[in-house]
Amino acid sequence: MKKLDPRLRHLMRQRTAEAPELSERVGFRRVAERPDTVEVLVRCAGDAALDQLRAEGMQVRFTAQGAYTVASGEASLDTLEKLGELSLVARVEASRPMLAELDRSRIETRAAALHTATTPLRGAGMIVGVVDGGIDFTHPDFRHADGSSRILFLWDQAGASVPDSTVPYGREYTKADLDTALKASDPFALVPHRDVGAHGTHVAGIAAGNGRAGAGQFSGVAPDVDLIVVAVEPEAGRTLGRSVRAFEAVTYIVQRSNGHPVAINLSQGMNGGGHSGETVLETGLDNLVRQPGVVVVKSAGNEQEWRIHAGGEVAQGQTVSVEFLVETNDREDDVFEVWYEGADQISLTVQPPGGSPLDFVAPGSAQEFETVAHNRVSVDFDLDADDTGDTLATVILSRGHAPFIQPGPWRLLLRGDTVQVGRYDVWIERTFRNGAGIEQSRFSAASADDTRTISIPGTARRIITVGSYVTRPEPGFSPPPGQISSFSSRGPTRYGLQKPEIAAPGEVIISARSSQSHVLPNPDQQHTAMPGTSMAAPHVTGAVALMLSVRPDLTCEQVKQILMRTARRDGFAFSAPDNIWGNGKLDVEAAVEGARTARFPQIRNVQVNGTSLSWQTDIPTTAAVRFHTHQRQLQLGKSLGSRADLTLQTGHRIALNGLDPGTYYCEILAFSEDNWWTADDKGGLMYVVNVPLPIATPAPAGGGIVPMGDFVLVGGVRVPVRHPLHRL
Amino acid sequence: MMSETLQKKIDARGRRQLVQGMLTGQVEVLIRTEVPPSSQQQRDLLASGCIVRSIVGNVLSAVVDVARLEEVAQLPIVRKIELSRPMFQE
Repeated sequence: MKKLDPRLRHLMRQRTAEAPELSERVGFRRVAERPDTVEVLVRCAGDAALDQLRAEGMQVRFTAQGAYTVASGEASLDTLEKLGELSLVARVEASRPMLAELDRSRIETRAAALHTATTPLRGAGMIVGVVDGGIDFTHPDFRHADGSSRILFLWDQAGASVPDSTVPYGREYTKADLDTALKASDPFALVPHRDVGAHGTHVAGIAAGNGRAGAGQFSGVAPDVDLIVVAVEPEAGRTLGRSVRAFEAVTYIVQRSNGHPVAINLSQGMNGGGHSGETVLETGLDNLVRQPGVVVVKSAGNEQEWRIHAGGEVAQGQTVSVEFLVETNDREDDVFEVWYEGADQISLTVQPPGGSPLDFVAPGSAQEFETVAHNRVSVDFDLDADDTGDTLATVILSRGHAPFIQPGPWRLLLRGDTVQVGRYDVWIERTFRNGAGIEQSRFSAASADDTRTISIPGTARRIITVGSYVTRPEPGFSPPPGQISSFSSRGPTRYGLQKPEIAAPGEVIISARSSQSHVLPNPDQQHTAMPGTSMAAPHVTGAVALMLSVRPDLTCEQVKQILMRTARRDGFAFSAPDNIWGNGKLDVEAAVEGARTARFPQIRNVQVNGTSLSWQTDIPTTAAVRFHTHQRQLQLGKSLGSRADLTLQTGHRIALNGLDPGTYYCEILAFSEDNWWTADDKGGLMYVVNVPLPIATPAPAGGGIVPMGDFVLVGGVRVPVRHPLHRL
Repeated sequence: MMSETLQKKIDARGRRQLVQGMLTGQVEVLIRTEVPPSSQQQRDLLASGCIVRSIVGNVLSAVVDVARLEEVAQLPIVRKIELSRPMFQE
């Protein structure tokens, strides 16, 4: 029996397929009217070996002759016993499922081609930043050949502080600290940081693992980068840090990069927020990536099947009912955010299961209720929420004096008191999902809207948000290979901007395994398999590092354009661009080539004279101005209209003639002949144009507000056109 | 009693946490300001009890005593105070 693979010995002890999944993992097959068989590889020796195998009952299919003979085929469980007793047999190995390996996704994303090129491109000199639960700094994939660390800095936010600390909380370890620890017999005695959750190690391996924990087959997309890692403080099995510290983690990485180009991965999120980049966290990240050489990549979220978004329209005088389901044993507060345009007045209330609706609460007010089941319901409005001009109603269900929130179908009722627009969106904040006693409330299938499920901060305008697709399915669970992952969150943003930007392999990915975790080794102790948009994002992060290695001056916005332009739309991604795939599948090779050759125009010398804006570009471009009377909405990507000029030139002037009197905030865009664009929004402040009251001047031809993408003025002539403006 | 200014600058979840006494001691916040704060404005933030940890344009992270949130909110440059929220792995 010693010659038999332990999986086979286990199967023989069981002798039944009580656990189909386990049996399937060891190659067990049940075929009608035949003995149960297992697919095996047999290593044997001797001239008559194959004949002997067949004589014992093995169905030999293929063989490979060398110092040993290796035969593949099928054998019944009884035959296995006999094979194990043959002196000519050295080893009998069960067939094993080949899950998506990192080398497979490296090939799929065309990163492998760069690694093996005549002049290999592997990210040397670049930095990948990882904000996650931690990293196994002892893992060979994060060490050089001489055993020293590839991690430049490790900030353990939950670590015990020391006097004169270089960080405001937690503990920072430098490469020197890690190198010293790695030479010690117990590295953790010197650097007591462990990645128990395993998520961060896996993510870092995808982006930057060098494959030393194996024969290189599991190396990451940018295997020669240096790393800066921030370990946020998770609540075990519940959260992965908090938003303020996630922001500080990203700013820390940029600081420690000390001017070197850096691609930063964020594979965590939440659902609270207006989903158009208006949270302060998203504003901060967008600010951070304005500088060249700093790129933030975020997972799209795995919310697609959780029914956490409802949306629709309510008409004047109409009441709309949105149903959501509260699970049993829900002790946690359930938080709902209802967003709608400020021009509307929509009152809200809540109806408990089997009960009557509570009183409607009007916009601008706040009220608390106790239900018959002694739960508490609070409805509280924010007018002009986050300075967007939009209204936010926050509904919080809490258990109150009851042990749990009443389980069953609740209803959120929206009454259109005054409606000009009518569109509403509701999100349920993410909460604890432990798989056993699931506490996440969700909308009913009838009420849920499967758009706009991107997790925050993934709706930030400038950062790169990544969806997941299947490279190798998990049997019985996954969509077919090449299809978008069923969990991959979708856009657009609440203001209609496309998200995600791109998709990358995320189901199922094998990467570095933390030795301090209990996750299942697969296929060996140093690797494990995980699915998620968390796994997709670091493919792009690694790709960005490679792009920055050939063009370190690129901004996040420019990197994003290149990734989107070079994305593949083969197979299931033929529908791209859309809010599922983004612009398609990551193509690292094409993206790096795009980074080498893309030429982005520069906008200079912007002047505002009266109602005109003028500027120069360094190369001939077409021009556009997007405008809005609401500065914050324009900052978030929503415009009232635009004016464009399709003449390719370097001197530009666009007048906002014919607009209603008022103050307009403006963003300038320049499109090169190759359609690479640059935007200038004056650092977020926007250029301000005041349109005065008219003094008996005739309206120009085509006067009035120009809807985006409707028409442009070319030499004063109104020309209908499909302009790339609408994609921004 | 929460001033109208603080009510406007902090969201409903934050208001509820304050009213119900769920927040004590120091809280970590993200603050969005009207424009990137000048040196004087940064001193004003410090004087109001804000221990600023990082600044990126018009967004800063800070630690504030719960009891002094009101002071921070009263600063004209402060537009929004966002309490820290849990995040989840994906």
